Amino acid sequence: MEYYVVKSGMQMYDLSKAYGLGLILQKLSGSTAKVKDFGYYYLVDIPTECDLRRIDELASLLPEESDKKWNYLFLTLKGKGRDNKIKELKKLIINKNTISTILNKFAIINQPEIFDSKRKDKNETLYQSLDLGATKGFREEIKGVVYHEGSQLYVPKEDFLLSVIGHINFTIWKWKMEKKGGQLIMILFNPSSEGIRIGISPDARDIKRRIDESLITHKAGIFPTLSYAAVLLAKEISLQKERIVKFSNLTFGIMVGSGQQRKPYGGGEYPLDFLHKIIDSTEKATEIFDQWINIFRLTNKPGYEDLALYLSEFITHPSEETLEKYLKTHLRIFLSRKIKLKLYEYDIIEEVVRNV
Amino acid sequence: MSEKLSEIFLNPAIKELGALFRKSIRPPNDLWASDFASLVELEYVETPEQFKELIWKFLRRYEVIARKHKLKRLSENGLDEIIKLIDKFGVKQVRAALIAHALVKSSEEEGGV
Repeated sequence: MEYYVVKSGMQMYDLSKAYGLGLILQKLSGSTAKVKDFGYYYLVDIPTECDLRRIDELASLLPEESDKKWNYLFLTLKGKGRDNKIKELKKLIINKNTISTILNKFAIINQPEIFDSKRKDKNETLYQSLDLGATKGFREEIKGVVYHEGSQLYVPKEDFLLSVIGHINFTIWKWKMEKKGGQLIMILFNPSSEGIRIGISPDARDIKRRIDESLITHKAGIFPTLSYAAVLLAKEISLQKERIVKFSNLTFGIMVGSGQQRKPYGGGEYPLDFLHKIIDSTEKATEIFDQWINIFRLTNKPGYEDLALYLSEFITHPSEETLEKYLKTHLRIFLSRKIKLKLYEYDIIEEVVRNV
Repeated sequence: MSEKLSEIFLNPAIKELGALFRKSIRPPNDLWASDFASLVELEYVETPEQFKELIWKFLRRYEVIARKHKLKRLSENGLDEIIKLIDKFGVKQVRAALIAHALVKSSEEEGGV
């Protein structure tokens, strides 16, 4: 059985919907769901049919109201509004009509629906925390002297539910604290066309959970934090015997505090090409990633930011220049003996050089 | 894949000079003072001529340590080969390969990956 989540252009919203659909299909079918990225749409694939008698099992896909993930997901909502929204979603996830609508709607290739006005009881506001692209809606022309910032975006309730389920189970949220406010980094791993699996080992949720536990926001900034996440993911892939779970990139969004509100700060896709190249070309991949993970951990203190930055630069844009910059800094800090950086085994650095 | 950089890194003469460079900046058991001067100069080298001059200077400094501690020197063939590599591939690539060798854990050292 194949289901399709056609992309709207809002990366995090689309991807979270695909993961949400994968989780629902896996629960209802009791089998393994695969989520694959085919460019125009995400394909969600299950080998057996869904059984709506299993609908109560879907409740486990949403955590308790006290779970801090809700705070990240509904960051722009406050107090009662947030509590009511969670209660509403918990009812919606075990509503037969809603789930049937989802199963029918996504069984065929349908264009995604996004509206600029609310239709009572049918739509939900697409929050900035679900996708940065939803912020302030589409800007409209300024006519005369009246400035209009643009309309809020609305999406169908069932699409909203899928996005929430996907985010809650697959998004990694990390705060980067600063003197004034801070930044919230959201990371989702995008599957490749070969796809990821839900419901059987290696389950993509377990991979995400292990990375979430290990990842820290790096003092050197967002770039090294994303590189650190990418290397942790690459290590997870390299540890698989058959490499059946593959991701193509990291989709990320960053929000920053601005007075009482949160505003978009940045977002995009972080490439995994070089890391995949290492995985495919050498059996030493895990050792290489361990070395880099160790560097990210040890440099997470003032005075060593340059090494984390140069390593990140090398990982995202591997070239002779970026490799030299990284190696020079590694050597300089190693010789200073202030932090215990490790040296490379000959065959490991040989593999790094070979892959540039 | 950068075949050039890989080729330089695997070249026996670069391996030989890399091992000397490694020893001079990371002396076993702190038997002599690290040759930071060569390391700093290496960072600022821009032309093949400067690079060749730097190698001569480095080898002179290394000779002092080698005499005292009875260490292996760079072979004449090795030196010729390195000069050829600098002319053929340029400063940046040879320097990157040398620095990569300097980061390799030697057999006496702890702390490798």
